Amino acid sequence: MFDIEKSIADWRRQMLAAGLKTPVPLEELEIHLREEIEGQMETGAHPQQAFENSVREMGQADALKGEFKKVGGTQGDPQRVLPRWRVFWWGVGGLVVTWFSSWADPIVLHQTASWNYWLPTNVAFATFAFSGLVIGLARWQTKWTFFWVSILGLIGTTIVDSLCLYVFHRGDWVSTFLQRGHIPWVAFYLPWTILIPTGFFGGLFDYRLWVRKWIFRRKLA
Amino acid sequence: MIRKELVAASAEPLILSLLAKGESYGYAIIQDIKARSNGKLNWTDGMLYPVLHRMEHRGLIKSHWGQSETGRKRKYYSLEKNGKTAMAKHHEQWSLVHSVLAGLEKEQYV
Repeated sequence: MFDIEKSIADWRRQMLAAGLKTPVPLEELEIHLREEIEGQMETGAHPQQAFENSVREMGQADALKGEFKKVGGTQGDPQRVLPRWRVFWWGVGGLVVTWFSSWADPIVLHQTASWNYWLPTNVAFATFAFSGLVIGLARWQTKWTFFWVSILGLIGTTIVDSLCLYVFHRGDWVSTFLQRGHIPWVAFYLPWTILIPTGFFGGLFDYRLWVRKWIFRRKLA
Repeated sequence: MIRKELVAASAEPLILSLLAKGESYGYAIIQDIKARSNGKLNWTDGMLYPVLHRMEHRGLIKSHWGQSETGRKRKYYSLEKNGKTAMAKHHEQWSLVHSVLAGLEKEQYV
C-alpha cells in the first residue's frame, strides 16, 4: 500500500542527504511538492503516480543544491547590489559613534595617557567595524553575514577597549572606569557601548521599520 | 518546446511581470506560466525557488509567509520598487530584441 506521507518524508531525507540543508528552501519545496501532488490527484492521477511525477518535475537534489548555493554567493553576479539605505545607515552609525567618542571624552584633552587610550580604541573600532562593512560589501550573502561580522566587530572592539584600559590605567582601572574626570566615566562609556551596536545593527534592523511602526501606532492611538 | 537557455533568460522578466499583477507563490507562478505558454514554457519546478530567492536578495521582490484558504502555509512573493524598475528595463530590452527579429523576419518575405 502506497503511503504518501512516508514517501514525502523519504524525499525530504534524500534532499537533506544531498546537502539541501537550509530549512526555508526545503520547506518551500515540500509545500510545492504537496500542491503539485494534490493538483495531479485532482485530475485523476493515482497517488503514487502523482508523487513520482511531482518528484521528477521538482528536479534532482544535486542540481537544486547547486542553484541554491549560487543564491548565497555574490561573486560572479555583477548585478547584485547592496541596498543603498543599508550602506547609508551603516555609515551614519559608524560616524556617530566615532564623533561621539571623541566629543564625550573630556580626559582626551588633558591627559597623554588618554590619547594613548583613545587613539587605539578608535583605530580598533574603525578597523573592526568598517572591515565588517567592507567584507559585507565584498561578500554580500545574507543578512546573517552582516550579523556575524557585526558581532565579531563588537567583541573585537570590546577586547581592545578593555586591554587599553588595563594597559594605560593599570592598577586602578576599575576606579578609573567609574570615576574619571569631572564627568563619570560611565557617562561616556555607556553611550559608547550602546552606540556601537546601534550603529552596527542600524542597517541590519532598518531604522525605517521602527519609525514606520511608531507612526502606525500613533495613528492607531 | 522552448530552448533551455531562453527559458532561463526569460524567467526573471516573466516572474516580475507576473508579480506586477499582484502577489503570488511558487506553485501558482509555475501554473500561470504553463497556462499562458500552453505548456511550452516548462520550468523545472524546483528551479523556480533559487531564482525567486536570488531576486529577493537583489531587492527586486519581497516575500512573506501566509496561509492558503485551506490553511496551508505558503510563501508569497510581491514586487519591490527596484523590481518595477527592473521589469521596465526588461520590457524595453525584450521589445527591442523582438522588434529587430520581427523586422528581419519581415524582410525575408519581401
